[in-house]
Amino acid sequence: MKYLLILVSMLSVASLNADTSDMKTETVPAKVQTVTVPSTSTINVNYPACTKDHVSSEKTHGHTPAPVVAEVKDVETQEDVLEAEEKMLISVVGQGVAPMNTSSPAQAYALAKRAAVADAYRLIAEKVKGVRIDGQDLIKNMMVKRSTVRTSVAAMVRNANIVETTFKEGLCEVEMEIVISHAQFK
Amino acid sequence: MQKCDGKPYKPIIFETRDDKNLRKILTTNNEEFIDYIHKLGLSVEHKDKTKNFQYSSTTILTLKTTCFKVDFNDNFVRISPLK
Repeated sequence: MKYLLILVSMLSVASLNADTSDMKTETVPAKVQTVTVPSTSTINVNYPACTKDHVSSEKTHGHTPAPVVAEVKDVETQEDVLEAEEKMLISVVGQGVAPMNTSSPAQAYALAKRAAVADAYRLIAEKVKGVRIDGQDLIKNMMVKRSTVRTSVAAMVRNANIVETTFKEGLCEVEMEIVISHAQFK
Repeated sequence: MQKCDGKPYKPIIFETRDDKNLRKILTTNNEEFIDYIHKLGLSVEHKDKTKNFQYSSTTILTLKTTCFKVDFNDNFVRISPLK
């Protein structure tokens, strides 16, 4: 009887071992599946966390991996600062359009140029002194009824020079420069 | 017209062609004179408005109040602002 009990217990242990070994052999192909499935997608291949297996599987499939563009650069625009005892050149291009009802092409040119010069002065004033901006939105019943943006600038400009004037297809462009020094703002 | 004091500086010279009429001389050389007078000082006032995405703008250029000394010679006129 004792031998019978020992034999039964030995058989159950052997069968348990056999079950676990079967389980192991089943899990291996499952792992292979989880590896091979993402390798077909091209998006995840180039992530830095990817293993070599993924890359090799990519190579076998013949896909060329896309270059990794994951660099995030801090784009900081440095504002020009006018240091003491130094000068700064400011250059702008003003634009002006000739009116439709002019009595001659010469008048159209003259008016377009005048508008372009005024625009250039305005741009210089905006660059040197800055722009005041006022905005107002009127919303009724959760809908925008009126949206208004107003900008304004007022400045005195001296010694600005016209560098170049071009007139093409009714548009006049005037390039204007001004040299500002630190002493002017004292 | 009022009397002004000051020292002349930075003159501009135009040909008169035997004409003593200053207005006429300036009209003839208006481009050159406007560029010159703008350099002396110009007040810029700009306002623009964008209402419901429709843009409108006004720019007013005002010349600085300046006194000038005007000398007529035989064939030239010398215009100098006073400081």
